[in-house]
Amino acid sequence: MKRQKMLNPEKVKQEILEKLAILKRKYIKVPKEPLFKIRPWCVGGKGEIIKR
Amino acid sequence: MREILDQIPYRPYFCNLQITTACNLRCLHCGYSAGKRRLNELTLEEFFDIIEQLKELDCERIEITGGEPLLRKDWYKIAKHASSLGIEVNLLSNGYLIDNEVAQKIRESGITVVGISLDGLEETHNKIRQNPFVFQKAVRALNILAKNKIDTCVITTVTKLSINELPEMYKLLKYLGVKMWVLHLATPVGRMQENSQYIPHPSQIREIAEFIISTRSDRNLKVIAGDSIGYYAEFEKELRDFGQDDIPYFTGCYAGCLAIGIESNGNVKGCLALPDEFIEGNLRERSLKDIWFDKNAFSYNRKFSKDCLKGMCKKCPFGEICRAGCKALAYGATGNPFDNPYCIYRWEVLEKHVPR
Repeated sequence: MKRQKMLNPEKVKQEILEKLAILKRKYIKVPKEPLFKIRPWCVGGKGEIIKR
Repeated sequence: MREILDQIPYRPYFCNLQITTACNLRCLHCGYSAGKRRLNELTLEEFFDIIEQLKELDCERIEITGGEPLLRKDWYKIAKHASSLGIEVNLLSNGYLIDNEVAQKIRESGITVVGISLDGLEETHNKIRQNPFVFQKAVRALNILAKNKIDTCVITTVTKLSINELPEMYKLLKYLGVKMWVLHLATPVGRMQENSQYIPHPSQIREIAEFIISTRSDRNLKVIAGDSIGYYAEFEKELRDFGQDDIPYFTGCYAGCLAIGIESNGNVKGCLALPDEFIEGNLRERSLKDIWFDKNAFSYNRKFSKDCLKGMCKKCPFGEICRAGCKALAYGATGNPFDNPYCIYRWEVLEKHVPR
């Protein structure tokens, strides 16, 4: 695989914060929902299979 | 980047539930050094009670694990109790004991996905698991589960022996109809501490990550990088991206924030891969709610700040985001959960260009 330039940490942080704000707005109506789903710890679940 | 930790509601959405330490194999890489059953394992009634406590705390998914969980005679009753409460239940097994009768019980107990361990092609898998028949048994289990229309996921602990076998394994898993494949890096905990020669060198992590990315265009078999594989190479986003409802970067370990591990004797940890130093309490002595909401619990994640980072991770511009990656891997490698040498960015950039 051809190597590209490494990521810019500040841009990454900015992108994460923007995404977090979007997820927060989306899930604020369902307070019990996690802001984002946890990734498969070991065995992937049904959700990950359906999302393919 | 405390922002993420500060905004997520701490709940054990995911629980890794160890129902026994008994195991019919003695795998070289076993993080629990499993083999014999603990003498003080939880009773069926105690598991029922714990599952109900998990439900009260909004647990959405339980992964039943061991040892080999199928060695416990009442495994399906535990699974059925959880699924009857609306919790998704997955099972992690070495596949040795799975036949049509067991597959039928898996279906009846409401388990949705069965994870089967496969740590390489036949010779490698049998060597790691110290049993000449176990590869064929695992493949047989995958076939039986497929025939019974049970979704399967293969879990691979990548060692130096299996890195070069990943493309061949991919072909095999596709042929077997596996829908998901989760790769983890061999971690220097449990029995792997005595077999550390098999742990890949940090310079080999790129190869594993690039292999995962090379499979992305194929929608039939989804390959997933476990939390121990990374971090922050130029392809980080491609390695992690799960879709629009997810942050497309690795944002650290969520043990004790979104996940919990419960051992077969009732000990509670953020993640079962963590050693005993990380036990937060025991469910025979305290309720789950009491342990989970203890203001001092899971402090390695909940009270994280940039100042916690050690070694090269302290000098890393991504350190405050990834929080030193997999805590079990970092602790196993350096004795500190905030100093993780198993990292692509650290190996390729920091170790070469930043003075110690």
